[in-house]
Amino acid sequence: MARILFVEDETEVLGTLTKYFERQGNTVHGARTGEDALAIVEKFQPDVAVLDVMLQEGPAGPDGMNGFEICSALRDMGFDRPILFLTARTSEEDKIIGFDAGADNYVTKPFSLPVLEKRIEAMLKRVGGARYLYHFGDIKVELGPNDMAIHHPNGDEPLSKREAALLKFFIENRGLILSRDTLLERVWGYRAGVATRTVDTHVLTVRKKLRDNAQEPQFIRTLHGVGYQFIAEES
Amino acid sequence: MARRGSRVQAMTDALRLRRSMRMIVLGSVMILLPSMLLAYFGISSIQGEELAVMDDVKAQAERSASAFMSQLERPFTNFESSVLDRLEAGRSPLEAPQELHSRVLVGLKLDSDLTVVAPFYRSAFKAQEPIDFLFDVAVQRAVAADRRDEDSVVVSRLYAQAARQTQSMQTQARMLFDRARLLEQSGRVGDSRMVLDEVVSKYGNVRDPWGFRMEDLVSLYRAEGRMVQNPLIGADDLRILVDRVMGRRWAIGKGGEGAVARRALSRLEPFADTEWVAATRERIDDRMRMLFWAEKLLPELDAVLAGQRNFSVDKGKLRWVEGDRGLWALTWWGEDLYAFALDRRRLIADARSMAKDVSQPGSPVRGMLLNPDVTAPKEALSRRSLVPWMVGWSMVVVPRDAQALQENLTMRRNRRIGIIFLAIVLIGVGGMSTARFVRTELDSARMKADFAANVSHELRSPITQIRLKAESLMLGLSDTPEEQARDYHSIVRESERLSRLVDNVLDFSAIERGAKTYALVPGDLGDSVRTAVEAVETSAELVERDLFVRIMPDLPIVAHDADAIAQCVINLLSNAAKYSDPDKPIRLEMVREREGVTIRVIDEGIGIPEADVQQIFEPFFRGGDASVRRRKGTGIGLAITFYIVSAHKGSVDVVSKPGQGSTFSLWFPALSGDPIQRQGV
Repeated sequence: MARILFVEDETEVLGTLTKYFERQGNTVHGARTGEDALAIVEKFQPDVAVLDVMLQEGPAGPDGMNGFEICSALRDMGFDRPILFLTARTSEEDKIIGFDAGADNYVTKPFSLPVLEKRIEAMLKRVGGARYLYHFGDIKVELGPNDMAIHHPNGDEPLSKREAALLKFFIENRGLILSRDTLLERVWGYRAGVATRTVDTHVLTVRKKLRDNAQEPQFIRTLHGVGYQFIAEES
Repeated sequence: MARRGSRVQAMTDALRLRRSMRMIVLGSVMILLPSMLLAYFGISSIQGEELAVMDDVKAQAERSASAFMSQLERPFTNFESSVLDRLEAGRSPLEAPQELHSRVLVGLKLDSDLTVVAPFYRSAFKAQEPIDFLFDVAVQRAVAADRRDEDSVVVSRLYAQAARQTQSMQTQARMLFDRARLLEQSGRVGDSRMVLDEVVSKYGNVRDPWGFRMEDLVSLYRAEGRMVQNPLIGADDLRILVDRVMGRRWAIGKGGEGAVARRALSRLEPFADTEWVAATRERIDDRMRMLFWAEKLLPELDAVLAGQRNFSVDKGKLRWVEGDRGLWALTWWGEDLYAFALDRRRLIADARSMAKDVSQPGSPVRGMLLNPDVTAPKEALSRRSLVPWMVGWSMVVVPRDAQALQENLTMRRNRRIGIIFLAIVLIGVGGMSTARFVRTELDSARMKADFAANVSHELRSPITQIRLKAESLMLGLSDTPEEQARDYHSIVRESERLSRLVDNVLDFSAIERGAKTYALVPGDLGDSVRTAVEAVETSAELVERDLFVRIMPDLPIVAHDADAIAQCVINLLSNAAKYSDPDKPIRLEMVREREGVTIRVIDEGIGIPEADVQQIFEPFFRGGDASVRRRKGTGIGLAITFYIVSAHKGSVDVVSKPGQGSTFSLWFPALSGDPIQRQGV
């Protein structure tokens, strides 16, 4: 599941996009102005940015940045993930300016939500998929295929594939109590009932790498005889 | 951030700049290139014309000079060929030399010692020998005795004594001739004949003090005497005398032969052939004229020959040497030298006249003869030297009026430059007009393209919303009935927005085609405006805005099309919302004004630059400000509003200050007259 930034000044369009893509399991950040968009990118580093061109509303008003300028600014600040323009402007000149500004794709309104979803997926596939980047205060967790590690302010903790898969399952099911059997089945693919300490061992390792205190956990809480619960919220 | 934003702006600007550069280059090519070509060819043409004029003048000068030389040469070459032809033919060129050249003064033949041998010779004879006084006394004594008819022996002795008193042959000859005449007068014809025979035998070649040859005098005397006795015989004698005299060389400095011949000719004229007489008189006159010039020019000939002693000339050629009075033509023929003196002064006068007359009166050039002491004027166009006839002399052709020629050239040049300058100015004006026209057309095309893009955008936005909401409902994204209701409501609202937009575009199209009509129905304009406001206040643009409406009571009745008025009101309110911040209020007022009703829409938005105020009612115009262009809109709302108000015979006014807001006033006249009118636009 990817983290997607939508920049759209029409509130209702933005609401519908957010609702649809969240339903597909993505993390969606919405912005109505260029300033908001840049702040979100800086903080959450989304996997893909979808930009409208004409941004009329918002505190900055029409004198603020338009979609082309946001795209250009994103590229200038080092954002290397796919950018897609989603706009009612259909002229060839606009498309050229969009691609020159650094866009990877250009979709004109009106559009189909499922088709837009497929386009975003295709773009992500070309860049190696979503990075599964999560922010927990100062700690940044990246669980994508290219980099699996926990980035602390004072050093990184690399994760094995299994550890990454375990942590990703925890994060995607944050707040839920997950039994050992569930974890074995969903992360390891074992059938339930297999007696093994491997889950506890891996949870211990992950917790250690998260530098979590088992007595006063910030991330993974142990519910004795029941299982584990991921309790941290992204910030 | 501004830097990042400017990058995209720079790309947009770069596209426009490239178009502008193409226009500038095109304009430059259209104006500069033809101007430069015109200037280049114009200047070349001026130079070419000046050169052509000068070439023409020079050609005329050359023609005049050539004509002059041809005219001058012809008599000389004719003279040369005639002299040589005569020599070749064995004829003397000294006879009737005026036939060879009209300016011949004398023709002479000299031997290898440069002694004149024909048709004259130099005589050593002195005109008057000193008088011997003793002889004079003695001869008077003899003559007196002779007249007294004294004894012939005595008389003869006295004459012999007188003859001994003088050594002068001239005197002796004359004395005998006078005695012979005296004897004949006294009737002693036989004695007289004997004395005359003695004169001829002793003193035939002696000349008397007047230059008469004694033999000629005797012959003339005898022939005249015979004329008295028998005129025909006497005439024959005279003819023989004339032929003899003419066939002989004459002595230079003596006119005796000529006088004898003339006298003889005048005596025999009544008895001779007229033509022969005329021809003979002419020959005598020629000979006498030549004799005159021969005597005059001999010293000059001597000087000429002194400088030309060993000259040689090609066969068939004459050598020309200038003397003071004569122009000498010399040629060797065998051992003989032929010298002809032509009248140099007359030749110069002829040449001067010829030079003057060689050009036609209207010709831009004139000829002049220059003597060796004069330098040619700097404006000389052509020059010919008169070598070999007159060394140092030349004929030059100059402009008849050099100043006028220069003024003519200057006038032509100035006229051409004026025409070229005018043409360049016209090209420039034409080019600039074309560029302005093209720019206007491009602006118009750009505005239309923007209009198409904007309409496309404005159409797509509500369609997108409608589709999204429909998909949202279809895909079950709206979970609760409230959410679903919101989606339905949104679909309806966006459909209305779409409908308004389509109405605007269709109305505009109809207005453009002149097909739009309005049904003007008398009614309360306030009601129509109120209805329009109610319909639009829940629209997407105005739903969250503070809209204050104030409609004064008792407004006059206005003939109006309610739908069209609603369109105007919606357009103005929509613009007010679009160009002002969401927290700024929008006011609509209706008041009675100038026998009509004014609808006033007031916002506190960005305002309109003064330069744009005049254009905002033009179709497609969206202002030059980037902040305006970024806002969504088609650029036809105000144009439609203007058309509608005009169709109601109303007026539109706008007062705006950038940064402070705008007030749009639509004034409609109160009804007077026909309650229902159909007004076409």
